[in-house]
Amino acid sequence: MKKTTLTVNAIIFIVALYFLNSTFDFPEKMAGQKVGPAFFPRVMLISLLVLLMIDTFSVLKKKDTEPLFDEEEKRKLLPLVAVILLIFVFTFLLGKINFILLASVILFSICMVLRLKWIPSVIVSVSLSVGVFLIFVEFFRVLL
Amino acid sequence: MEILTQLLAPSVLLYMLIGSLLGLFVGSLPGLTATMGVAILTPLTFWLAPEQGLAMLIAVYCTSIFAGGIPAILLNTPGTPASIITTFDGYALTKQGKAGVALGVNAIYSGLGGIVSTFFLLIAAIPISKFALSFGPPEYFALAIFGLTMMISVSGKSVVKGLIAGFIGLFIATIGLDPMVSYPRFTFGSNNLMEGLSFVPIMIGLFGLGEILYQVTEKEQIGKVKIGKVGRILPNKEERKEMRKPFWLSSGISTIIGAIPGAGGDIASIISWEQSKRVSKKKEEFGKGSLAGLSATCTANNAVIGGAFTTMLTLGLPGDTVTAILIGSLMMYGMEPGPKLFTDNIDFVYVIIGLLFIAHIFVIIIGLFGANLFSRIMLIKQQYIWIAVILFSSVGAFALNNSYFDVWVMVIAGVVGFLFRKMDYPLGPLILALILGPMAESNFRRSLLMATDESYLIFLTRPISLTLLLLGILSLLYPVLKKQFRKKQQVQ
Repeated sequence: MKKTTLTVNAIIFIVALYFLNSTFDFPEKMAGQKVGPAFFPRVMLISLLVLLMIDTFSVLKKKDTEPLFDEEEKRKLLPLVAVILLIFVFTFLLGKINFILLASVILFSICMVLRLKWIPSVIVSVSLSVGVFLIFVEFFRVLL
Repeated sequence: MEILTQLLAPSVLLYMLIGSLLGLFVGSLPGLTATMGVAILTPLTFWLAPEQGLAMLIAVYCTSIFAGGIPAILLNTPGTPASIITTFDGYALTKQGKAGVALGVNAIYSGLGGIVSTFFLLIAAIPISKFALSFGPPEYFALAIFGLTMMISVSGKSVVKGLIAGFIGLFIATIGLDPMVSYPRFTFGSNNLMEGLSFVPIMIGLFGLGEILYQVTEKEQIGKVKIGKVGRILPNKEERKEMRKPFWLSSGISTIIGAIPGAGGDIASIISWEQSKRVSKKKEEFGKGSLAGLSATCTANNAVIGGAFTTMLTLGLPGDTVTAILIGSLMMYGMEPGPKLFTDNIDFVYVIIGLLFIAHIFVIIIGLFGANLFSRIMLIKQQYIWIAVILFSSVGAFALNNSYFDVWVMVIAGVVGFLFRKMDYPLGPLILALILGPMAESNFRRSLLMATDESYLIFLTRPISLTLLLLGILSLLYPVLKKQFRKKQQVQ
């Protein structure tokens, strides 16, 4: 947990620093106001940086006892990564190929990753895809 | 009369029934929360008339909170965080062969608790909104800060982590055109970012997809469900008498707790249960199958709703994460919660109050008639629900603006939501900051324009803004000081 917290804090810190730097391109004052578009995001980002430093110091002081994932959860990390990847593929292909086909295949793949029985998986994946298509496209006229 | 016609229109009642059944489903399945249910269904209601859409969302909210008590009673597994305390007496009653009465008490007292708190909303809303009409920009800025600090102080283990989540939310809220002079900020020339990141896809990602990803790594929550007859459902006269006092006590406490931003059903039910135990003549039965204890927690779960709606409608401050999402839904319909809603759309305020009453009547009816069916809902394999949530999240995020960019926003928010949950960063402050960020910034800058010499002292010279800011600071300091005090006590 300690390592992960420090890594995540470091990533947020770098991103916040980058955005803070961008605020110096914004006008300081505009339309006769004392504070311009730069003020609010700058205050937020500086506060965020200070808090991240406080959190990092307090994490460094603590003894690391709790892992981010215990043994049982670690065994489920691979399925988790596979599910996230399949969601990314679905999002990338959304609108590029037929919705029912895409959703059925991706949902069925997720079912397989989660080790579900394949016959109910096929039924659930296809019926869900068709059901969602009918609700959104036929009923709500969404351009899927 | 017009309001009544709107409320009792067949289409409104139909959407309310659909919402109630969906809420029953969401609450009965451990892992699916009211927040997730409302977040995923919000895009679906976009195409409906406001009263129809809100009927569905309010019904999902009220019913899922009540239904969270069902697995708590039958399986010792809370369906929602608010029903953790329901397991204490509810499951003990099931073990004693009184599952039917426990389910009946859950339905009746959840519904009645909701109705009492809606009465509070009906009585208190107009005076509070009239008072809030006197607010100027400094008061609104202070109110936004107060709402945010309150949520941070109660929503997580660490105030610093809550603040980090809050400031990330406030920063995200600054992306897009500046609210005062329309200067583009952090847009990188992209048209998708000009209006900022949409609130709904972020919310669906954090509470829908993020929750599912979290559950993929979690241990199996439901064991084998045995379906048996639950027996008598209605409590008898003696039992009703035993539950009268905890019911009224819990209704009062929980309505007030619900009105505090960030304090939800989980906090209300533990406080109500403890207070009911304190005043009970049969203290020793609490936790061992006490109907008084069960009624206190069931009442508390739904009684927070009226309180949460009071601050949401009158001040524009969400009482919990669900009302934060409902603010987004109201905005989707072109209505901004706050005192102006009471001057511009007072009829609609009464429609919302009426919907809350009807939704809680539905809770009682569905709860009592469906008691024997509840355990069957829990037979559905969780993994199939996950894939349904994944699909609805993606399509829901897209459907709002027909934007593939919003789907990416939802997916990224989902992964971030998963990581934040794993690392104990509370999500409530982040989502609240997204809502309150623009309000805080524009009112902060307007306040400075109002002030002589544009001095920051304007926030300290007006009594309401000063009080709210001081309360905000105190709410942040209180948990820190409490922790230090406990540490000192332990050392001694």
